[in-house]
Amino acid sequence: MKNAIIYPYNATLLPMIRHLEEFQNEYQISQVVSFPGSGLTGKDAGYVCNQPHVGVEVKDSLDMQTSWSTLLLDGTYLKKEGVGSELIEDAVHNHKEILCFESDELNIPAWRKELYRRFSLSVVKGEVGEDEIEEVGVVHENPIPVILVGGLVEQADSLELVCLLTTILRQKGLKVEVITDKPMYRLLGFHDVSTLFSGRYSTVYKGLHKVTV
Amino acid sequence: MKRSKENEIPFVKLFRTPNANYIYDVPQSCMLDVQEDTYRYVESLQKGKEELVIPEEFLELQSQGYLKSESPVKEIKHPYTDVVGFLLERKMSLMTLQLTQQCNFRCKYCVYSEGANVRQRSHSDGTMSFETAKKAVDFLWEHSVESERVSIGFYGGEPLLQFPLVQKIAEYSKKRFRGKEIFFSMTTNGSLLNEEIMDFLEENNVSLLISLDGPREINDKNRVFRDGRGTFDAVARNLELMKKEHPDYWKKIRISMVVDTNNDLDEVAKVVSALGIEAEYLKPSLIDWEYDDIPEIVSDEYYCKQEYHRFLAYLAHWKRYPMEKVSPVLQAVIETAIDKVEQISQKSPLMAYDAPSGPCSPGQLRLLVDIDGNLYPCERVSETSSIAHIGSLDQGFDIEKVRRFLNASCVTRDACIHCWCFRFCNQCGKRADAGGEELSAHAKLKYCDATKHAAIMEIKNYLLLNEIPAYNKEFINKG
Repeated sequence: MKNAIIYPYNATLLPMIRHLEEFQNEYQISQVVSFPGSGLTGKDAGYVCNQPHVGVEVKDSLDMQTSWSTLLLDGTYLKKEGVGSELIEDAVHNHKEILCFESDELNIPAWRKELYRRFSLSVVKGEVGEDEIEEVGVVHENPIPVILVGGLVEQADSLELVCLLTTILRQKGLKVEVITDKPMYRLLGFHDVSTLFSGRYSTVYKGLHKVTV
Repeated sequence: MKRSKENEIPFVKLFRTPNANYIYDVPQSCMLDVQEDTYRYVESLQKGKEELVIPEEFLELQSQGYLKSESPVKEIKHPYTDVVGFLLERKMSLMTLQLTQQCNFRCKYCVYSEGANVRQRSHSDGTMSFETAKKAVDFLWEHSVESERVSIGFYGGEPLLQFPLVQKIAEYSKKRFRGKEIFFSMTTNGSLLNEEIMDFLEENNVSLLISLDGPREINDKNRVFRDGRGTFDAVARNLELMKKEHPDYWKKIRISMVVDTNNDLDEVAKVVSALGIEAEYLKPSLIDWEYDDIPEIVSDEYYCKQEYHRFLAYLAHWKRYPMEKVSPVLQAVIETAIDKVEQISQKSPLMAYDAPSGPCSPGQLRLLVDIDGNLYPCERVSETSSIAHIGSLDQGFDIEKVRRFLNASCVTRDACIHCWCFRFCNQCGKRADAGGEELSAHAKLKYCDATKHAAIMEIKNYLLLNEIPAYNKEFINKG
C-alpha cells in the first residue's frame, strides 16, 4: 500500500484515519498535517473531534525524511489564500503524487485554481459530473432499503457511524453502497455526489443519473 | 356553544391592531392570529371577568396544545450550562484586547470616567505588555480549534495610543493563526489616525468603529480632550483625510454614535450627511448609566421626533417616502429591526429546563482580556466586579463563575418563569451585577419594564411588517 499524507487535517477526516484501510487496499495514512493556525498541530488527531487518542500526531509540515508517496489534499479546507502553497511545492519538488479533492468543482475560488494551475494539479473528478445530472421532478419508488445517517453537524460522527454500519452490513453478506457529499470519501469506495449539493440545483430538481446500486 | 368548566387564564400576551387580533402564546412562543371572540374571551379571563361561553376557536387551539395556563418551565437552566466548558475549551471566536487603560479623551459619559459609572474602573496609565498580548493570542489559538475563523479586537482606553503594540499583535496573530481566517477590529476615538495608521488599518482590513456623537456643538458637549477642549475638529479632519486617501476603506468604517437624548435628533444626524456616512454603517446607542443606577430619561421633544422619524423610516422602507429625508439614526434602528423580524417566528417553545433569552455564553462569543490578562465576558461589564471576572490567561476560565453569569436569571427565577417576555428578554448577568459577591435580583428586576417595552416594540414591528403586505398590497405596489 502507498503511504499517504492528509492535508489539511480537519474534523471531517478523523474516520479516514480510523477506517481507510478497512475499505481499500491502495493507501494507508502515514501522517496527518494541518496548517499552523488550526489549533490542531502538536496534538493527537483524535483531538479534532474531542475524541480519545488515535495515536497519530498532527504535524504542521510535511516530513520528507520518512517514506511516503501521496498527498491527499482536501482543497475545500484550504480557506485562505497563500496557505498550503509551500507545502504543495515541497511535495511537487519531491515528486510526490497529489490527489486534490474539491466539493464543488465549478466554484473553486480563483486563488485556489491559480494554486492548482501553478503546480499543474488537477482536481479528482466527481463521480456525478455536471453533464450527468438530469433535472427530474419525480422521485421514483426505490425497492432498496436506504439508511440515512444525519447529524447536527456533518462532521466525523456521521461518517464514523456510516463506516461502522457499512462494515457490519457487509459482514452480514449484504451489498452496501454509500453516497456521500465529501469528495475525499471516494477513497473509502463511497459514491461522491457533492455536485448535487453545490447549490446550483434546487431541491425539487435534484436527481441522480448515474449512481447505480 | 360549549360551556367552560374552569376559567383558567392562559399564559399569553394580547396584541391588537386595526386589522387583526393576536395572542402571543408564551409556552409555545408563537403568535396566533385569532378571531375577535377568542381575543375578547381571553381578555375577559385576564381581567377576572366571568365568561361562561367559550369560543369554538379557543377550544380548538387548546386541543392543539395552545393557550395553556401554566409555564412549562420548572427550573432556570440555560441550554448551554452543561456544555459551556466545552465551548470555551474549543469554540472561542472573538477576543477583545484591552491594550491600554489610557485615553487622550475624557468623555463625560465614558464608563471609565472618574465622574461617571462609579462601579467601573477609572482611566489609568496601565498598558498591556506584548508578553500578555502574546499569551492572549495563544489562549485564543488553544481555545478555538472548532472555530473556522477568529477575530481579535483592539480596545482601550484609546488603542491607538499603543499603535506599535497593535502592529506587533497583528503580526504575531497572523503568524499564529496562519491558515485560519482571522479578522481584526478596533474601537477608536479617531483622533490619532494618520497616514501610517490608515495604511496599516486598510492593509489588514481592520473593521473600524469610530466614536462620534454628532456635529461639533453636540459632539463636543461630552467628547473632550483631557484639557477640556472639544474633539470634533480633530476627528473630522482625520475622517476627511481617510475619505480622500483611502476611499475604499472609508466606505467600510462604522460610526458609533452615543445619542444624548437631551439633544435635538435632527441636529445629531447632521454629521452623518455632512461626512457622507451611509446610515447602515451608523451604530447609534444611548448613554450607558447602568452602573450609576441613573434611569434613562428621554425628553418629550426627542421622543416625538424619534417616533415621527420611525414612522417615516417605515414609509421609506416601502418606498413611499425618500429614505434620505429620514433621520439616519432611525434608518439604522429600523433596518436592524427589520433584519430581526424573522427571529420572532423562529422562537422555540419553552421547556422544563430553560432560561430567558439574553445571555450569550460568557467568554465564547466575545471575551475581554484586560491589560493584566484577566478575563471578562465582554467589554461592557465592570472590571471591578468579582462576578464578571471569569478567569485569567494564567488560570484559564472559572467555569463555575461562567455558569453563574450564564444563569443570571436564577436569581429572578419566579419572576422569569411567569413572565410573558421570557423569549424576548435581553438581560444578561451584567444587569444583575450590583457590585457585590452575588448576583442581585433587585438590580436585575429594575430593567424588566424597559425590557418588556422593547419586546412590545419588537412585536409591533413584526406585526406591522407582516400586516402591511397582507392587508395593504396596494400600498406596497404603488411604492
